[in-house]
Amino acid sequence: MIASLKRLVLRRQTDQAAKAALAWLHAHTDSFRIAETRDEQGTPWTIKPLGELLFMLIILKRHGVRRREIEGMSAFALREADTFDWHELAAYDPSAATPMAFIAEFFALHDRPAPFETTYFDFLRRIDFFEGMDRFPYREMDLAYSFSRIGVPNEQPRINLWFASTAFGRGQNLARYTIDDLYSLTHAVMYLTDVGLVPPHGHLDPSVLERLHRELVTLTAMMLRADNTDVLGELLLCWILAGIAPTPFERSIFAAGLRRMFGSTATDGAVAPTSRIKLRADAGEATFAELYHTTLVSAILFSLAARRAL
Amino acid sequence: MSELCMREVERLITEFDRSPRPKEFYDLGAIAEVLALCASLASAQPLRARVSVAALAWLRAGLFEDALFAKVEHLYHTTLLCYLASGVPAYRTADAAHAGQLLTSGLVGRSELPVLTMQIVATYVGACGIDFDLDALGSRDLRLVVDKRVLRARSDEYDILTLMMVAQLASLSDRFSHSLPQIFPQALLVQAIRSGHLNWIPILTLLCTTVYGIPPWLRRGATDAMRRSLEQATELLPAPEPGSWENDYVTRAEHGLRVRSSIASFALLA
Repeated sequence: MIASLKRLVLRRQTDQAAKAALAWLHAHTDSFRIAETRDEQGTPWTIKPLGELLFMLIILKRHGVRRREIEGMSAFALREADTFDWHELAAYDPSAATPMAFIAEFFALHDRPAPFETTYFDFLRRIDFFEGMDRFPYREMDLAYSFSRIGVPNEQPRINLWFASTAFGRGQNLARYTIDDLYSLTHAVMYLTDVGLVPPHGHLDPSVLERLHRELVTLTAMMLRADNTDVLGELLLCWILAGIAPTPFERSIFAAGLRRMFGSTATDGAVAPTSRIKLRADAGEATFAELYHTTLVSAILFSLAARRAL
Repeated sequence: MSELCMREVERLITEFDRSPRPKEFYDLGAIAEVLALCASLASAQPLRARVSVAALAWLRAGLFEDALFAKVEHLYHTTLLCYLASGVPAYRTADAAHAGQLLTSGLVGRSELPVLTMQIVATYVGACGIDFDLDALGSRDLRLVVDKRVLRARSDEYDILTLMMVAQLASLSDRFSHSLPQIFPQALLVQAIRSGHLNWIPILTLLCTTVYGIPPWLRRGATDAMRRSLEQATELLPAPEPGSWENDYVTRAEHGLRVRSSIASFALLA
């Protein structure tokens, strides 16, 4: 009785945290605009924040989450993506392939044509222009997944193939997971489960699934002791996407993780990735760049966790 | 230039012997890259032998195990130096056994390295006598990955690193030498000559001469450019141009990249 009451309270807290995170993101939509970089190094445009916003919007829309703030941010993203010359970006750097594919998917979800010539995009893909770079295995998974989402055939087997080369796929010792290794695992889970809409047992052997369950729980417990709510948030999200059926003890780890995320929420609704940034956020001194990613992750996590009892 | 390079290498080895620090480690790693490709160039053999002997001593002292365990970024240069050490007659497979166990037991997080780095690490470790499979990575078409870079609107130091790595793979294994890129290395060499990129010209000429292939007209142009730059040189060749310094690899091994290019220059012109 007390346990179920506690769970009810946690879900209400989660729902409120989702509202607060989405409200913060909505209030900062202007900061997601594509910016020109002036330092003459790297890509001359910063599109990462907009790309990540789009990915969050895609996930929430496909899960049927509806809120006024989501509609507002979607309208903004459609307008912003429409104003940029994606052809120039594509010619500049083959790493543009993944965000462009996600943008095409986002526009399709809103019954709109992609904001670039799809024949040009297809041409670049056919001549293997996008293959002209060395990627991390999980970035290869990014590419294969984003292509599969816009209907490019035969990409699903590539997702599984590259998964075998990630930290998890190679059975790396948990004690030696770097932060990058953790992101590799969380991205892999997103793609293998089609952001939680396809059960992973279609792609993974029972023994691999069992190891995934065990290692996700262990890594989450490890990150509970660290000061990095960005990764912690992604790991917790993976519990939901991978359909983890926790034991009562494991459930207490998940609940502790959620509470840790609540504790990192600043007074204005942003979720800070570290305790130092949290202090600065409460004082109104943290920057958008410091806060936006963890807040995006938290918005997805809280929105999905509020709808599904773990 | 040959004597200058030998002095610089000797100084770096002494510094690293006295106090193993990342700065000298990355410099020596950059030098080892070019020496690994100079197996057929007689003029570079004394340098190669000197670095190989030093590398074997570091390997036996457990320095590489520390480096491997400390940071995944050390992995590429560590395995490269292990490979050079394996060419010393006194080398035994047991010398690299502990370092190999760290890798095979998953205690070194090599998985989140770019795929090309993972391939070369696995190949070097294999050359040191440690069984380390490539899985699906081994079947990748390297020609595609490299030649398609010619379509990009810019070039940077990472392009050179990519070409160095693929060349090392090709020189180590027949599996890779059947599918070598040609367009991109030559295009980059032409670009380096036209823009007077003194650091890149010797490296790219070495790569094209020893691995990728070079037509006689381009070889002549590259040799002329190298001779002109050496006539003016009173010290090591300059570092890569600031515009191409896009990643940590370049900034942390700046001096090593100057020595690397100078070695390639005298090895080719000797």
